[in-house]
Amino acid sequence: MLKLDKVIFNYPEFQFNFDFELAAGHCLGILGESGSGKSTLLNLIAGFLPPESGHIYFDGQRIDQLKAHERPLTILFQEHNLFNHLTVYQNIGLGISPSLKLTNANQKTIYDALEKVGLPNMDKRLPESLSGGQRQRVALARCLVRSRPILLLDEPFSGLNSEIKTEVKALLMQLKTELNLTMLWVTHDQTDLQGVSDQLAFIEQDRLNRTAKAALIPHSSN
Amino acid sequence: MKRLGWLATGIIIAVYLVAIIGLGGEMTTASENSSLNTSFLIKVVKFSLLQAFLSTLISIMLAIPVARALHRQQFPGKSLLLSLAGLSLVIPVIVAILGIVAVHGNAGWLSHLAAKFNLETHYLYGLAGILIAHVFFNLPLATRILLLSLNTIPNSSWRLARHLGMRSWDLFRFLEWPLFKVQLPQLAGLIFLLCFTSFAIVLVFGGGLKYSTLEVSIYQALQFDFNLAKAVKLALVQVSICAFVFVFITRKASQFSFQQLSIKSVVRDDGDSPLQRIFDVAILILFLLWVLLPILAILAGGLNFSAWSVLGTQGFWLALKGSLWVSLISGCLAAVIVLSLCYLYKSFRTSGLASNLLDLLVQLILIFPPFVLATGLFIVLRGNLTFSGPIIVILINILAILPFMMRVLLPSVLYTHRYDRLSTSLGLININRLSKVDWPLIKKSFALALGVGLALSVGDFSVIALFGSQDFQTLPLYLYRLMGAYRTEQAGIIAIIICMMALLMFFLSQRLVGSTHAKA
Repeated sequence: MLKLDKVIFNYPEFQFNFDFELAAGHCLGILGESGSGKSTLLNLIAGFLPPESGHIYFDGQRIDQLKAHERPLTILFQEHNLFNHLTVYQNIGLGISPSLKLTNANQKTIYDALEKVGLPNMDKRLPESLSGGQRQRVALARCLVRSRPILLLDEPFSGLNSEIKTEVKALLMQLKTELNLTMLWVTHDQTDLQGVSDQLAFIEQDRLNRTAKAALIPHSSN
Repeated sequence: MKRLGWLATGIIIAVYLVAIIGLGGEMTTASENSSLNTSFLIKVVKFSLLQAFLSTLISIMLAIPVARALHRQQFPGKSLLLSLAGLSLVIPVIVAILGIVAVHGNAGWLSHLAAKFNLETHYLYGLAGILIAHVFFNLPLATRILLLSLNTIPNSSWRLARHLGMRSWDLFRFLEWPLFKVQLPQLAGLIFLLCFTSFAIVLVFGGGLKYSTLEVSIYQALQFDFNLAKAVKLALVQVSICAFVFVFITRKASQFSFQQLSIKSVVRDDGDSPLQRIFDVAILILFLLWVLLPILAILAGGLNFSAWSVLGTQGFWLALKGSLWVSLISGCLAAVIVLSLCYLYKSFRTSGLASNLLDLLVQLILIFPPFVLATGLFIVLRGNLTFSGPIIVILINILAILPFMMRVLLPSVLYTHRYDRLSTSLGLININRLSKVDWPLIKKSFALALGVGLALSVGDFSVIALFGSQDFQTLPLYLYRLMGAYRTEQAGIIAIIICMMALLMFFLSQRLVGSTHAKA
C-alpha cells in the first residue's frame, strides 16, 4: 500500500496538501488541468522535490528519506524518456545498472523485456529510428527490468495517436495484473484512463486560500 | 563538477582581488605627485571615444547594404563568400595587421597601383589606419549578425510583401528595419567595446600623443614611464566607460548566437531589377576585396621562400616554444574551468541573479584592462620576470578566452537538463552521469570550445607585450618585433606559422576530443 501522510509542499504562492492511500496492485488516475499540481505530486513521490513536511510510506516503510533512484518505483515520463545517443539495449540496461555493467543474466532480462513489449530484435536501434509508440514501449521495457512495485506514469500518452494509445494501454493492463503493479497515472485526458484506473482523484485548487489537495472521487462515479 | 565550478569561480575572483590589492598597496606608497596631466587625459579619452565611435558607425553603415545584398542575391559560390568573410573573425589581430599593411601600407599593393596613375597614397597611419583595421574585423562581424537576423524573417512575410507590391525601400522600412532596430544597439555596443579597448591595432597604426587610446596609454605608462599611478588612473577611466557601455548592452536581454549561417532560398524579388543587381554585385565585390586582399597578402608573404631562413634563428625557436606552452596550458586549463563553470551555471537555472553574476564575472575581462590586471599580479608575485612572466601571461590569457569558450559550450551543457529527472530516477549520478549521458552530448561543443581557446591563445598579443623577455617570447610578440624592425619578409613567414599553428590546434582538438570514437 502506498500512503501519503499529510505531505505538504509550498510554492512561493501556493501550498499543496496530499493525504491519501492507494492499495497495492491498484491504479489511481489523477486528473487535473495543466499547472494544477499533478506533476508536483509525482515529483514528490519520485523524490525530485523534497516535501515541506509529512511522510510517504510504501508497505509500511518510509520512502521519503530515500534517494530518487533507491525508491521502490519506476517512472514513465511524458518526454525525454530515452537517451537519444544510446541504443535501445543500452537505454534499457541503464535501468539495471547505472554504469552499464551487465551480467549474462541481466542481458537475458533485457531481451525478455523487449520481447514482452513486442519489440524483439530492436535492441541495436537508436531511439530516433523508432516511432513515438515504439519509444514509449522501450521506456516501458526499462520500467520492467527495474522490477519495482510502483509505476508512476506522467502523461505517457501525450503525442501518441489513439491507435497506439490503445495498444500501449493493453500492454500496461497486462503487465499490471501480471506483476501486481501499483500505478499512479497522471493525465489531463480522462479517456486515457478508461478501463485502467481502479480509482480516480482530482487535484482541487482552492484559490481563496491558495491551497490544493488531491480529492478522491467516490467509487460509484468511476 | 559543480564543486569544481565553485572552486574555479573562487580562483577567478581571487585573481582579480589579488591584482587589485597589489595595485592598491602600490598606489598608497607611490607619491601623489605622479598624478595625471588633465589635458593629456582629456585628449586620450576623446580620441578613444572618437575612433571607437567612427569604427562602429562605419562598420554598421556598410554592413547594412552588404547584408541586404547577400540576402537578396542568389549566386553560385555564395557560401564560399560567407566562409571567406568569416575568416576575418578568426585571424589573429597581429597577423591581420601585417596583411593590412601589405595591402594599404606605404609600400603596399594599393600604393603600387596608385603610383601607376601618379597618385600619392599615405593614409595608413593615424586615425585612418585604425579605422581601416577596425572595419576589417567588424564589418564581417556586423554583416554576419545582420544576415542572421534577416534569415529569421519568414518566407510568408516576403510573399505577403510581394503580394502588396512593396518596393525595396518599403521592404527595408517595414520588414528589415524593425528587426535591425532591435539588434543594432547591442551590435553597436559590442563593436564599440571591441574598438574602444583594442590594443594591437592602435599600437601599430596609432602612435604619438595624437593617436593614442586609453588601452595603449596604459601600456605605455607601464612599459616606458614605469608610472603605475598613471596607469591605474587611466584604467579607472576606461573601466567606467566600458562598464557603462557593457550595462547598456546586457540590459537588452537577447544575446547574439554565433550560430551557423545557413543559406536560405528567399522569395523576395527586390534584387531582380538590373540596376539593383549591378549595385549589389558591386557592393559584394568591394566587400570581398576588402576582406580577401589582406588575407591574400598574408598568404603571399608566406610564399617568400628566401625568408624561411628565419626559422633557423634562436629567437624563432624560443618564441615557438613559448607559444606552444602558453597556448597548450591556457587552452586546456581554460577548457576544464569553462566546463565546470557551465555546470555551475546550469545549477543556477532557477536563480537569475546568480547566473547573471557568474556571467558578469566571466565577461569582466572584456572591460578590465588586462595590462593593469597583469601589473597588479606582478606586484604581488614579486618574483623575477622569468618566473612570474609566463604565469601571468597564462593567467590573463585564460581569463581572456573564457567568455568565448563559455559561449560555445554553455548551450549544450544546458541542453542536458532534459535528462536530469530521468538520470536521477535511474541513479545515474556523478561519473556515471557524466560518462554515459552528458559527455556524448557535449563532446562536440567541448572540442569546439577547446579548439577556439587554443587557437585564440596562439594568436594572443596583449600582456605578452609587457612581460616578454629575453627568455620568454611568443610568436605574436616575435612577429611584432620583426615588424618594428621593418623585417617584413621574415614577419610574413611568422604570420603564416601562427595561422598554421592555430589551425592545427583547432583541428587536432576536434579530431582527438570531438570525434565520435573518442571516449570519455
